[in-house]
Amino acid sequence: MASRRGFFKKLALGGAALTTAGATVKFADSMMPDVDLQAAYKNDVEPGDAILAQREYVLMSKEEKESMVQMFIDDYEKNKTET
Amino acid sequence: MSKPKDKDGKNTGTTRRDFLRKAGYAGAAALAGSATLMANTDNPDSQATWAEWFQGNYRLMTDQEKKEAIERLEKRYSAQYGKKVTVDDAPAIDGVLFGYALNIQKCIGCRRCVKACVKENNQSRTNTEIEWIRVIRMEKGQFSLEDMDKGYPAEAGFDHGVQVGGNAYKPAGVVLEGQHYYQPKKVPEKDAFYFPIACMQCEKPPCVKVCPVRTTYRDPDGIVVIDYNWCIGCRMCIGACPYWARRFNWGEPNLPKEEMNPKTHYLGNRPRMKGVAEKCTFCIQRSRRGRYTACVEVCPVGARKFGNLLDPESEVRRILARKRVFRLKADLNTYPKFFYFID
Repeated sequence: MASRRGFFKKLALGGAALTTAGATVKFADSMMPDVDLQAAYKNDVEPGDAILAQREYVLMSKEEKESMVQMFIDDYEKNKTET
Repeated sequence: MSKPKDKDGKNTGTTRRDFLRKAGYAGAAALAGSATLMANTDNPDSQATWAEWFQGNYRLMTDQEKKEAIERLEKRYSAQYGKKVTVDDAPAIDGVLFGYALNIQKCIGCRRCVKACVKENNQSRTNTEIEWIRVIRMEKGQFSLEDMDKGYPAEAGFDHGVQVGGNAYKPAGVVLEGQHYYQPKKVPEKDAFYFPIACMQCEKPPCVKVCPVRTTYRDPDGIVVIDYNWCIGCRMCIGACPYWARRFNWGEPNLPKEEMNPKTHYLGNRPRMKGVAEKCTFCIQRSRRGRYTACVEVCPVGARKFGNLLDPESEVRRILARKRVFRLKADLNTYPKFFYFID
């Protein structure tokens, strides 16, 4: 049967081992080259500029606008009754 | 409990009690190690409480859980930014469906809307500099009445053939590649027009469909929101958005204390964390309190209009009824509630 001393010894050793492991990981992480965050952001956003700018935009007809608004109203009423 | 023995009576392995005891040691040590590493760091994650880490999806929380979550956040943000920060949880207003209209003829490309949005919505200022609104500069097309009948066929004859020459090789409309990072001394520039783009708050949003954890959803007032605490950063929504309207926090957001807007909404402009998606919410913290969005308020030429699509007398409905309107990528049937119009 393990003694109380043994228990504390294991606890302290385990804690120290894990802290060391964590610190090593953290240190290794800090040594990694910095990722260019702004470039990553631009990669997400910029392709859209060209694609959206090159599209053809068609004006909506009166009927299209009316049916779209009616759809919004119907959807709203439907969701309201469902909830 | 005795240890398992083989037929010769020798101990063969670990008892359940031993295993559980070791697991307990390891758990306690891991906690101690983590606490040591996280203590006294500037990392906002280290300030988050256990309750915050393990809170549920906002939509599934009870009113009491929501109240507790908001209290936790207000306490943490107030300590973190050194000012009294409020986190609103105002729900959608009954009988309201928000819509937005932008007069593309009036926009002068000054980007005041972009700056006002950054300020209002606590977007990251530096590395990464996040902006929810993008203004694309586009060259004006040319269409000359004199060249109408030039080229071949010279005149509109019985064949109605495709014109070669004349206006055919000119950019007659929106055909040139847009530029986002334009730096003119003065706006508007001659021969340019400007095309602001933000979240379209689609009626049928593809980003909501793809979210594997349902952290992003459409509220009854039409605003597509994100519960940042529940976002796993999978970036599926970013890939699904056909308008490139979502942004990702690649790093820890950089929000200076003195520039932080303390009036926040849980689903809107509260400070975000690394690894989560964000986007325009029609300034939910304002619109749900009956105010205009920051971009509408700041626009110096009144190009931006905002209102209730269910109200026939609202500005946005009047525009839809009277103006020439178009939508981005209407063919995808996402039914954007952000309209562009021409006088």
